[in-house]
Parts: sequence; structure tokens; C-alpha cells
Amino acid sequence: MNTNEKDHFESEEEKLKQEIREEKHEVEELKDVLHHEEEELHHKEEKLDELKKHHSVKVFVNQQPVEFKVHEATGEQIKKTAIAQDVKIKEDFNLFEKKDGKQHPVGDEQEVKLCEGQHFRAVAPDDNSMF
Amino acid sequence: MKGNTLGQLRQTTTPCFKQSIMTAEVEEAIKELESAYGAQNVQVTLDADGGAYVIVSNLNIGEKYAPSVIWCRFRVTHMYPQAQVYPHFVNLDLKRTDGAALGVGFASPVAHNDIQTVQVSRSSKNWNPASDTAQIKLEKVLQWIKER
Repeated sequence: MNTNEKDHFESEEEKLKQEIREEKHEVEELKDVLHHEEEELHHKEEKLDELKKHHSVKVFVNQQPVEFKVHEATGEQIKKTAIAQDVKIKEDFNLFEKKDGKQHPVGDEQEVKLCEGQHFRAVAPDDNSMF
Repeated sequence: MKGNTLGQLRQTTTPCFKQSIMTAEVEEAIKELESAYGAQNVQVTLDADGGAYVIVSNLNIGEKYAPSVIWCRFRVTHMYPQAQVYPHFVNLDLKRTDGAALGVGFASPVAHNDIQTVQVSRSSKNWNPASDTAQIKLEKVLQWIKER
């Protein structure tokens, strides 16, 4: 390697080292921003959970209003809550959720997200007997 | 039972050549079925009394059965919703894929409007006109078949 080549090599090397230092610095800065954003998100999620705890959801079971303190419940919990709030159904009734223009069956163990104004139907089960 | 404007749109001549108009309540049941299963899958023929014979197609009942996609026929009478929807009729060739018999609640062959079918007898003894509907009943029948 002659002197010119050596100078060129050293200059390139220094240039790349500088770029790496700058990129690293940028990465560190971004990490700080990310960390800050994550903390803020976590704080907001905590605040939302706290709000939810104090905000009840009103749904309808057989057209009657039923208040929930939770935002998710199983089919069984929905029926039990409705019964406790004087909806004239029984625990063995079949539950349906009206969604997209259709009544969808909701199993006893099935979890459902509860939304304000959501409509459920609970109807007596069928049997194999003739008419 | 009264007919409504929409009902009059479905006015037709029944197989016994008696003019019939669907009651408002039966019309509502049909609209609910069409909304749930798609109008293209719901075939309606008026009966002579203001009720309707309905065939709902493309109903998936799962791999326990062959065929796994069936049609279901039933009559929504002019007494609806005071009267329950009963019974239901499905494909005559319905079989369980495990080879077992269809069992209690099924009967075949049973003719429904001259078509041989398997009758599914699921009675709603505690039918409540305020909350039970033809679509909910069909879902209950399908759910029961799936869980057998």
C-alpha cells in the first residue's frame, strides 16, 4: 500500500467510525424516546383500567336493561347478572347475542366483551318431545 | 293477523290456488332470517293462511355429519309468534360420519311438501313470543345437531 492509498484508507476508516458513533447516538436517543412512550402508554392503560372499574356498562337482556361492573363476562355470568336484576329468565336458558343482524348462540363458558347498548336474548331450551 | 305493505309485496298464489298475504309478524321473521343467513339462502313460499314455508340453505353443521352443509325447511305459521316454529326438516341423506344412528329427535323419511326429509323434532314447550324467534329457533336446532 502506497502513502496515498494509506491516507485514503485512514480517511475512510475515520469517516465510517464517525458515522457509526452518530448512528449509535441516534439509537440511544430513540431508545430514550421509546422508553418514555412506553411509560406513558402504561400510565394511560392504568388510568383506563381505573376508569373502567368505576364505569358500568348497560346491556339489554330480553329488552330489559342489565348493568355490569365488568366489561367482559361469560354467558353464564350474563344470565346470572340478568336474573339478579329481575329479568325473568332461568340459568338453563339459551343465550344469544345480536351481532351483524344475526342472533349468535353464546355458550355458558364463552367470554363476551360487553358494550354499551348491546342486546342479548335468553330463551327456554327445547326438548325432543313431540309438539 | 294483519298483512302489511311489505307482506303485500310478497303476495302470491299458493299451491292450492288460494290468494295469500303474509302476516306482518311472519314477514318480520323472514326479514330476520334473510338478515342472518343472506337473502340468497332463504327461499320463501307462502302458505294458504298468511304463513310461509321456508328453506334456509348453506347451513354448516360441522364434520360430525355428511353432508356437513345442509338445508333446513320449516313452516312459520300465521299464528307466529304466538305459535312456535316446529318441526324442522333437513336433508334426507344426512348421516353421522362416525357411523352411529342419528338417534332420538330425528325421524326419517318424512315428507315435507312432497320432499323426503329427515325430521328434527325439537319442541319449544316454553316458547315465549316476546323473545323467541324463527331465527333463534333455527340456531337452537342447528346447535343441538352440532352438539349431538
